[in-house]
Amino acid sequence: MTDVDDELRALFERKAREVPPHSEVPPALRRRSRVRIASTGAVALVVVLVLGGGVVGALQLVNRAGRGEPGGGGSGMVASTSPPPATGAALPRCTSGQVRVDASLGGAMGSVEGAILVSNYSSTRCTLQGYPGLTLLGADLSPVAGQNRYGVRRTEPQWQANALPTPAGWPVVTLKPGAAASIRFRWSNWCGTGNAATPLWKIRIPGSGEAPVYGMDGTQPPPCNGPGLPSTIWIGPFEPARALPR
Amino acid sequence: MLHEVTERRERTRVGRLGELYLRYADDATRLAYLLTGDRALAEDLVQDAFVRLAGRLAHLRDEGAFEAYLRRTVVNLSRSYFRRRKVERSYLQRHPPAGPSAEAAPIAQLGDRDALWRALAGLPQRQRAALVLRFYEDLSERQIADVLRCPIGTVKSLVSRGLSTLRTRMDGEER
Repeated sequence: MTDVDDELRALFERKAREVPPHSEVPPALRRRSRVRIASTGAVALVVVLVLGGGVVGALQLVNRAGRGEPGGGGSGMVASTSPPPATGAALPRCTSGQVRVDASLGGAMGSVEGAILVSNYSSTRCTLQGYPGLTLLGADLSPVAGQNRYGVRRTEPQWQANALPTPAGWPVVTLKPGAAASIRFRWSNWCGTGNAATPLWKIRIPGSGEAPVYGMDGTQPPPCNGPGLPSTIWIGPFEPARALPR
Repeated sequence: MLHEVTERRERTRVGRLGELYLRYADDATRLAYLLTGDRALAEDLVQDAFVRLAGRLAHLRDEGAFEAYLRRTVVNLSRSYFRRRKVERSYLQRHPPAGPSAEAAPIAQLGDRDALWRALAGLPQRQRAALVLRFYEDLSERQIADVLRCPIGTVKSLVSRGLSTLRTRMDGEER
């Protein structure tokens, strides 16, 4: 028998030829992309205006303070016109609407572990900081309860566990568009029953609402070591995704 | 004045997106079709991918980067589609969990008689994506890891498990 790799290559080539070529741009694409570009531009314009206004205001205060004019004097006012905060601190927090959550998990020694990746799918930079919340959901999307108990505990970030240098800017993680932060994840002992046998789960971004995570990308929950034993999920804080070992 | 400049920029970007569409839509649609097994769905996903990338055009310097970004967006959108579909199915609880993979439905619905194509449809979505990226796109394990955002070890395991499942199913078909 020919090896399945060769058969796969041939199948893919054959199936790919079934797709007809595209000779023109669909009008719907033009319309939708015009809306997308306009909305992106509008957001950028608002950001520029807000930041620009802030800088102009700050400069005016500095000038007044320098000339000893009313409104510019006093130590409190001088303090407020001190150099602008670091870029990371000035950026907004990522909201759940801006991010997409994926999991990269695998089984290890009776548990499931890996990382949850939070990617910035918006066109603006934003920041993440602290520990996310995590909730397990049953098949009907309601939080699992009753006998299906579990605990969520905090653990150290992966860079710390690997004795790597502190990532720049941490604990604030700045996400450029398309960049990802990761959350260290480990889960042991799941003896869930009923609609919680293979639970779904969602994470909560501090101060920004919930970001749904549906399923575990084909990864099964950890094995049941004993229904009487606790099921524990350890999660780390947000950290730059590149801090993870590859 | 500002409005005119903005409008001119918008027109330029939409025009540039059109050029990129004509250049890359065929490849992207083939990839989406192999990932989903559904031509209409593939067309929709590719259009969604281009709309998403429209907002990023201003930051695009290298066209090679566009191709990689488009590929990743198509893979991510197909994964999101199957994930949504899985949740909908769980919620409605209309299908018993022991049946064929919910992710496989679009390919299975086609009634294709090709045994390998059907076997591919039964694979978990990540394994199928890894096989398509490896054997159709000819990407290296590192490149696949970048697209799927997972460690290289996971890519090796996805490809190996995918091939092994296909071999088993094909052997079963032959018998």
